[in-house]
Amino acid sequence: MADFDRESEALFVQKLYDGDNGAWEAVYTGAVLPVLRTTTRGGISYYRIIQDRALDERSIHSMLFEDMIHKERLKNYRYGCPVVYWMRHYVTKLILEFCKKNDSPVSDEDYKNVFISESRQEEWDLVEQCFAELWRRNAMRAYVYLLRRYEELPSVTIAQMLNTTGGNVDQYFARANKDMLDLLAKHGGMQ
Amino acid sequence: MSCCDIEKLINFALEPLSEKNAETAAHVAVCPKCREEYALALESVQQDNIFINDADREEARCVTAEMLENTSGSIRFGNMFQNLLDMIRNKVVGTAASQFSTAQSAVFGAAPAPGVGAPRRVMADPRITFESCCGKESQYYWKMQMTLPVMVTESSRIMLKVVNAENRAVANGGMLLFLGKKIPINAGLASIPLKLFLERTCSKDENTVRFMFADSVISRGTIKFLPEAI
Repeated sequence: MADFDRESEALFVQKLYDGDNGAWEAVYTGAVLPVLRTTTRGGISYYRIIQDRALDERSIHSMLFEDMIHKERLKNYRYGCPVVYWMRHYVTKLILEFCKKNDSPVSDEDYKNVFISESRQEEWDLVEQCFAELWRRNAMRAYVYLLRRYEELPSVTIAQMLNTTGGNVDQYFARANKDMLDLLAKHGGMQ
Repeated sequence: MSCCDIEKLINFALEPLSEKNAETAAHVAVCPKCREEYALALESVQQDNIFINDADREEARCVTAEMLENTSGSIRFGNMFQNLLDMIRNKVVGTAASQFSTAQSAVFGAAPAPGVGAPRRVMADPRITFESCCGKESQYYWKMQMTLPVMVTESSRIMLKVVNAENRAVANGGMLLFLGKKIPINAGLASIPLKLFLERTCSKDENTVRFMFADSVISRGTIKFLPEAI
């Protein structure tokens, strides 16, 4: 796991339960505002999405407090990662869930009907096995492959994330692609 | 490998190239649900780059203070109202006013000592005041006074009066959303049977008071601890 001070996180979480002003201010600046100022992959900011539903930062902050404290969702945090990221993820899901109930164009509808049929399960198991081997050989190549092929992020974005150039990203991807094909062929899988 | 929980995905987003994340990476590559969750985990990590300035921190202080005060007020109101309902439910007739004072003291602290501030008197008609969260300058400002009956009978009613910033009856109707009920307001007034509320438990989820104006805008409010006369 990423290094973080669990004791500090525990103290912070306790302050949230205690209704500490400073802790909830930190949630506002550390989780609510950053999420609302993020642009989704669809090119719309979360702020615009909530604005269209007559909500604002205050509403989201209140809804978060309601969920965390009154509905005891904070108990789902298990100190497996820094709480700020966990909270940001929760804020994002809260917005998406709200939108689903309010005729939102943003939904995970596309994934509801996705399933892997019995006949393709073996194929996916093989891909998973080959990808894990690729990762062990060269994690950077494998990660670029993951972001380009499966997360469908553009080279420019990946380059910014990894502090490199678009050209390097394309090179990593091309080599990873070749490696994956070789592994799949070697293990008797897909062409 | 079974699907990853969000904390594992966040750790993967924080340390993507770590060897210990090989299995997680492989699973994310083949699982659409985890891919979507991983995309959100990536977003969470990238949000570290969002700039927060002093104005944002000042706004955080105001928003948080108001939110926590409202929450604290809501819970206190819930307890207070439940106490009142319990007393009325027990049909303590004729002494409800003094017992309201007792309950009020229990919630808000002791009344000023004699000779300090306004002289204390037994209230003949217990009243609770609510006010919208938005200020008087907003067109959606409202203030509501709820008068509880002292002499309790089968047909006792709670009187409601809703006014605007000029202390005049809210214009053109509107509807009060209170304790799970929708109460139409006519010329700023309404009355509701007391027994409607005697079966309700006042939980912290039901103590939000909202007023829906004629144009369907809903304005939230909270109890006013230092009410002005309506």
